[in-house]
Amino acid sequence: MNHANLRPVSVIGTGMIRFGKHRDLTVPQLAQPAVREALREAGLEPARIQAIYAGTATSGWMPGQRVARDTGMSGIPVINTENACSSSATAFREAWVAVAAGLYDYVLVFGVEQLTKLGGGTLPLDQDDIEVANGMVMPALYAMRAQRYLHDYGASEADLASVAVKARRHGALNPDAQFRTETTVEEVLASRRIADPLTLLQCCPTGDGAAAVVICPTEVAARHGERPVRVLGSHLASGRFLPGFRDMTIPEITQRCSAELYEDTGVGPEDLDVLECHDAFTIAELLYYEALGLCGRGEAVSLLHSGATSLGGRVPVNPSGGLLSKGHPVGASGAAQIVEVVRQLQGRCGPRQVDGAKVGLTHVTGGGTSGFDHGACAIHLFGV
Amino acid sequence: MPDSNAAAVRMAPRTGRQLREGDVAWVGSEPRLRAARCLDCDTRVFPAATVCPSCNGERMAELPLSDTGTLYAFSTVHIAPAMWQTPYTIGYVDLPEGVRVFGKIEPVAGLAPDARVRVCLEQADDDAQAPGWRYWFAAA
Repeated sequence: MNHANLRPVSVIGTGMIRFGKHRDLTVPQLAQPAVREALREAGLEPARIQAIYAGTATSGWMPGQRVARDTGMSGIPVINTENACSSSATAFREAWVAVAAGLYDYVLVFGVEQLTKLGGGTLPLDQDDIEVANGMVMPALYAMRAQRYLHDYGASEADLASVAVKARRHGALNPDAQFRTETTVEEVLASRRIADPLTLLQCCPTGDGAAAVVICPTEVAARHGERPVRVLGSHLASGRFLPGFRDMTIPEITQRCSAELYEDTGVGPEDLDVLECHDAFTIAELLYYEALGLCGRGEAVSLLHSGATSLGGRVPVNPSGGLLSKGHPVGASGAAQIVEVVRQLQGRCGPRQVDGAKVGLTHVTGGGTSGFDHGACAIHLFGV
Repeated sequence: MPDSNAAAVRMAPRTGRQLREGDVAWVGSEPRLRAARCLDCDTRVFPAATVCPSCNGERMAELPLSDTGTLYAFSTVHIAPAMWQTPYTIGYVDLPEGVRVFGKIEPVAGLAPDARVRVCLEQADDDAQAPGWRYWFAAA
């Protein structure tokens, strides 16, 4: 892609609410505190915002307008994006494109989701899809990847569980996390069976949440907030239809999206100090270590057990607790990952701070539909 | 495995999509899953499509699928939307024609990736106006 005519863009405000079960709130009520916090951090009155990009998967019509109405920003262009779990990361990308291209200077991005209103359990998928119509649910898709990974690389169910143990250890340090208690391998493996070999504590929880960021051109960012964070790169990929036999332990869309982003930016996996990845299920984090280039094929379990991806390690992954512990209100997750990485690069994360973090990455994918690894994947790079 | 369990896998309400009459091909007197092959780029796709998802071509030929294949991966599902009777087992089966088919699996003890499985087909009348077929996989 041609980035030559794009302006550098920075994040100047972040906000989020604690993820969890907020059944008594409406969608605009979920989003409002996150949006107001992001504006406050940016030091901007609502009237300065020129456009809103809202990401959500299940919030019905015009979620962005409903939030704009309640936060003093009605009337400006509002773009609502649905891209499954990548909804608000896609919104962020579109906002970045608009600011980088010079269309707007100050733009708000937010993601919101209220999964509790769906009643819990697995996410509702498209019944016209032949796999869904034959019983596919998201945990089973990841479970089959897990089974095959264990089969091909000799990993164990305890290895999978160790991912959840790490996530909960990190989440215990995050006041915005849905789960703030630690767990053990034994407890994870003994939890309720969801889709073999995955147990309950290996699956992201049902929850509600919202997260927001404000971006502007880097050249004016220093006027708004003390520690603006540069957007080093933004990339969006869609699922590629792959007929025939495909290796389900290779997350094709993530591998392709990250490779293209690394090539675009000149930043490589060896440059990363911190990252948030789409650990919707334990196996996912292991597959993404490999797909994002943190280690080679079949090396993810060793990398995990080495401590490199834990707080205090070489490249902490999901210091927020990730989707497994912080929670996964689908459309809010991409924005929440950006909030976490921006705050890490600003040195604001208290007991879960990654010391001296200068470069961070967010990765979100998702969307279960036949013929694809996943439907969408958005990866962003940030730096200070 | 007990017969009652096998029946549940196949017969539980809305367990598995009913294929249309045209989704089945005949090899002699035997019904087979009907895929399609693109005459231009050789992409194979199940269920059969009239437009090739790889090259957008329209020259698609019928490709009856073999009745045995190799289990790539599977999972027994314990939590699912209310329409499903749980637990049930689903998986991906690789067929010799180069087509991977997803479907219900009759669970048997010791089932593992790379097991040989056979394709089972039966007539279904979920929709009385348009009777069709239902498929699943069982250990070969």
